[in-house]
Amino acid sequence: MKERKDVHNLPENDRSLELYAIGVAEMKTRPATDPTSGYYQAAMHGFFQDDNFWADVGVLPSDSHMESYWNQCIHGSWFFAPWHRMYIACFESILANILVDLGKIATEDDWALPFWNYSDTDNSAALFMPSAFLEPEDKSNPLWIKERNSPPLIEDNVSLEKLNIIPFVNEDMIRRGFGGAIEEPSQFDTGYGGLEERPHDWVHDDIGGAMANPVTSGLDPIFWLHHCNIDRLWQEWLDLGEGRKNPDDKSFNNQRFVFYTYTGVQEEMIVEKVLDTTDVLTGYTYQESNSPIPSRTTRRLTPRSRPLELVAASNTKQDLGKTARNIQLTIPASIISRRQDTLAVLNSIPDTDTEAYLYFENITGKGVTPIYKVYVNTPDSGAGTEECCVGRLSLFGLDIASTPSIHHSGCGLSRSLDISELFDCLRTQPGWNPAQLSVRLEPTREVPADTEVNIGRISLHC
Amino acid sequence: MNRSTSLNLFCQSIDWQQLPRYLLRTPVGRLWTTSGLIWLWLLTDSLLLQDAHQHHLETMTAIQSISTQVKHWVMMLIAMMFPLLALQVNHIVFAMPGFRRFRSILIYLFGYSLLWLLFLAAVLGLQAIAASLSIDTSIYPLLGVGCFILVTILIWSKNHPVIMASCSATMSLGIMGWRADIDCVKYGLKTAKNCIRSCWLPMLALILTNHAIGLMFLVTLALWYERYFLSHISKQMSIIWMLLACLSVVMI
Repeated sequence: MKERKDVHNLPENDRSLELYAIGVAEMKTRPATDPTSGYYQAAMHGFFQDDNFWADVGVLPSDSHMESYWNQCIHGSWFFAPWHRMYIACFESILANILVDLGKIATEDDWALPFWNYSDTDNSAALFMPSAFLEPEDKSNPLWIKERNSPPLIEDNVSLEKLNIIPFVNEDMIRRGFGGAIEEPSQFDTGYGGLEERPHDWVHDDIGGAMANPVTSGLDPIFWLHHCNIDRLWQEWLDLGEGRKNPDDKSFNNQRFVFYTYTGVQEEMIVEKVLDTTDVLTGYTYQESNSPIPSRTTRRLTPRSRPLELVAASNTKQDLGKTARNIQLTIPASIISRRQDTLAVLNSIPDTDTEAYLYFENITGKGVTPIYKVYVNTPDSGAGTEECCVGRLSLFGLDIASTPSIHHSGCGLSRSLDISELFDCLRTQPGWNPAQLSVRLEPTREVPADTEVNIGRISLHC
Repeated sequence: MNRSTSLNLFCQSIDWQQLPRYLLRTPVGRLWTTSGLIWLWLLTDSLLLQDAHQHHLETMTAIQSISTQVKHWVMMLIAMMFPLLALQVNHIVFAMPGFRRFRSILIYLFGYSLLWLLFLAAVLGLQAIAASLSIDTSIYPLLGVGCFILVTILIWSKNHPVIMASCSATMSLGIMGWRADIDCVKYGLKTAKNCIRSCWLPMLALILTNHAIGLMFLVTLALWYERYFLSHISKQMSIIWMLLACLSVVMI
C-alpha cells in the first residue's frame, strides 16, 4: 500500500519529486494518441485545440475517440470528487509503471504522487509552489510551465472553511453541500459543492496560466499535486465525523467512469469501489498533515422545508469590464410595501436573523479570469471596504461553460454566496433602504485584455 | 456513461404518496396534469367523435380548416411538448418572486407556443404551395415516414449532441415590470427554438400522418425518454425512431 506524502514535508533524500519529473518528462515524449502520454491524460480532463497551450499537441485520435474519452472531467455535480479520485489514481498508476519500465523503481507501489497542502498554517512555505516546479524556469524542467502567476497563492483562498459543511449533497440550488448537487455526470454543471469551490477552484485561479482553465489545467504538472490534496481533503472531511458521510444512494454508488491503465486497456471504475482510498487500484493512504479548519458560526435559520425566496435582483445582463463594477439589485419601494407577505424580510427588523444569499447566474465569457471580491452596499465613495466584503467568486471553467457543446448548453456558470451575517448588520443600520441594494465586483488581479465576463443576473434570496 | 442514472434519480425523486399533491400543487405537476387532461380529451375525441369529425372536415371552409388545424396543433403542443419543460418551468419558479410566478409561467408558455405556431404556419404554407402545384396529398404520409427515417440518420450527426445539450438552456430573467414579461416571452421563444431544432422532424411527421393518436402517444414517450433518461451523446434514439418509422409504414 503506497502512502501519498506532503510535498512540503518530504523526508530528507526522498526522491518522490525527482521521480515525478522523470515520469512527466517521459510522458511528454509520447504522442497524444497514446493513453499513457501527458497530452492524452491532460485531454481526458479537458482539451481545446485552439488554445495556445495545446499548440504542439501533434496528431490527434479520431473524432469519435475524442468525443468518448476526452473532455470528460466532472464539475458542478456530486461526482466531482469521485471522478477526480479515479482520474488521479489512474494517472499515478501510469506514471509509476513508466518509472518501473525505466528501471527507476522496482514496483508500482514504490512511488506515490505527493500532495500539496497549501492550507498548512504551521508551514510558512506551504503557500508557495515547491521550487522543483519553478526552477529552472524553462522547458528543460519538465515540471515547469509558462504563464503561472507569481506568487501563486493567497492565504484566504486556501482556507478549509468548507470542511465545516455537514451534508455531502447540496440542499437546493443555493445552499451548498460539501460534495455537490445530485446531477448527472457533466463537464460543467451548476451544482458545485463546497470542496469544489474552495480551495479547488480558487487554487486553480490563483496559480493561473494553464491551471486557470479546465481545458489546459492537466498540462501543468502541479495540477496532479493540487488534486491529490483535494482528494485528501475529501477523506479529511469524512474523518471529521459528526454526521459527515458519503451519499448512500445507488445513483451515486453505481456510477461508472472509464479510464485507461498503463497497458492501454480501458478500466471501468465504479464510484462505490473508490470511496475507500485503500480500495482504489492498488490502494493508498495519506501522510498526516496539518489541516486547520477555521471555526464558523452555525446558522440554520430557514427551515429546510421552506425554500429560499427571491426578494431582489439586478435587471439586465452586466459586462464586468476590466475594473470594479457596481450593480444595483432593484425592487421598487412600492412593491415592497404592497408585497409585505413575501418581502417582509427586507424590512429593518433588528431582532430577527435571516438566512440570505447572493446568487450569480448565467455567468458567461471567455478567457482566463481572476478571482473577484464581492461587496454589498459599498459606501458612496465606491471603493469596497472589508466590512462590506461578503466573499469571493472564482470563475474557473468560465470559457468551457459558456461554449455550447455536447456537454452543456453554454449558459455559463452559477455561483452563490452566503451573506447572512452582513445582511443582518445592514438591516440594522439607520440608512437601510432595501430598494437600493448594490453589489460590487472587484477583480483581485489585472483582467487580461482578451478576457470578457458577463453576469446574466445577480439575485438576493432569503 | 451509466444511462440508468437519470431513471434512478427520477424514480427516487418521486414520493408516490405525495404524487397527487405534487400534480395539483406544484407548477410542473400542474403542467403535467394539464397535459394528461389534454391526452384524455384527444383520446375521447378520436374514439367517440371520429365519424362526426370526418363529416365535419368534408363540409368545412378553408378558414374553418385552418382554425381546426391550429386547434389540433395547440392540443398537440400541450400534450406532447409541455411535459418536456420541467426544467424550464422550475427555473422560472426559482428565478421569479412568488407573486409573479404564475403569470410568468403563462407568459413563458405563450412565447414557447408562438414559435411552434409559426412552425405550423410554415408547414401549412408549404402544403398550400404543394396544393397549388397539384401535388398529390396522398404522398404526405410517406413523407412522414421519410421524416422519421431522416431523424434516425441525424442522430448520428456530430451536431446532434450539441442540439440536445441546448435543450437544458436557461436564461436570466428580469423580475419586475414589462422587462420581466418580455424576458419570459424571450425565454419561451429561446426554448421553442431549441425544441424545434431537436424535434421538428418527428412533429412534422405527425402532421403529415394526420396526427394519428397512437403515433402521437408513442412519439411523446420517445421524446420523454430522450429528454429525461438519455445522455446527450446517446445514439439509442436512432433505433427508436427507426421502429417508429416502421410502425408508421404499417399504419398508413
